[in-house]
Amino acid sequence: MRKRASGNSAGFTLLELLITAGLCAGLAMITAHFWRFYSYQLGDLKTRARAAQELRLAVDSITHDLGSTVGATPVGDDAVMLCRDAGDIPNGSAQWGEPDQMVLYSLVDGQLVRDDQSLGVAIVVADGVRTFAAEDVSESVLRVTIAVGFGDVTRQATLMWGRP
Amino acid sequence: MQPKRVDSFQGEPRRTCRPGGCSAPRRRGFTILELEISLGVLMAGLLGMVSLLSMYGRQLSRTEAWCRSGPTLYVRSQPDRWMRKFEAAAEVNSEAGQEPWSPPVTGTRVFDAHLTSCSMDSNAQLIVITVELGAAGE
Repeated sequence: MRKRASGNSAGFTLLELLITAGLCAGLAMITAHFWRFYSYQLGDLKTRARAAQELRLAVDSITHDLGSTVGATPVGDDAVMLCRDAGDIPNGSAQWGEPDQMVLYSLVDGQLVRDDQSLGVAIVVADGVRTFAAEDVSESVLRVTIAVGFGDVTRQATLMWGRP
Repeated sequence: MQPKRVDSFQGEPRRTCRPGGCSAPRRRGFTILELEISLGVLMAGLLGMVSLLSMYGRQLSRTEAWCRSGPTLYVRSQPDRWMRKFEAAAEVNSEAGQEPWSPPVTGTRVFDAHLTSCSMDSNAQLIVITVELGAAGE
């Protein structure tokens, strides 16, 4: 059945070559299908992970600052000023100046920026921020809404802060 | 008649000799079976990658569960001034109407609380606070 070429050198027969080519083509198709599925899923997971991570960073930063906040007021549509109780002995009232610490959270070019105005230091807290809004719901409650998104993935959280 | 094999140096191809003379050295290629086994191993690797992806997806779903439904978090500043001085984080709760959100967040005020007396017994380490509750607006 197997015909050798002159010189009796061993190699693939045409049938073996055809079978191998068929297997390789099938494998390439399956691999391409898997690869497309894999890339899409991986991209989607990466986007979701990043959105959740950035939202977590924003929420954690704000809740940390709200821990010692005694006064807060919205500034425009996309910023909020926090007055953190500070000084040698915190007095529990918002003085909106020394010795209290003023912190401004604002949305700048899709980034949530925390500007510590007492220290003069501004840092980017979160990236990919689509919405940052602060509004007074009542005299005693401030609502802060943060939405972070990448691509078609958006994650949102709302903070309701009760004034002390 | 069986071909007579001549031993060669280790690693060199074997030479088959017949009564008429010796043939050219034979080079052994992959067999179909070997090829199919290697393809099978490759497929198993690909399936492993897909299962890793699935595992990653499950882990991520657990990680992002807190923010998938757009939660509302109820935040209250630290009531104690020393906790504020040490910059402790705010108390966060996922539901309103419970600690630390004892006053209702939305809706109308139900009660007005008036502090009527406060006494402290330092020996017994006891503080007695009397609060009078009345309907809102009275």
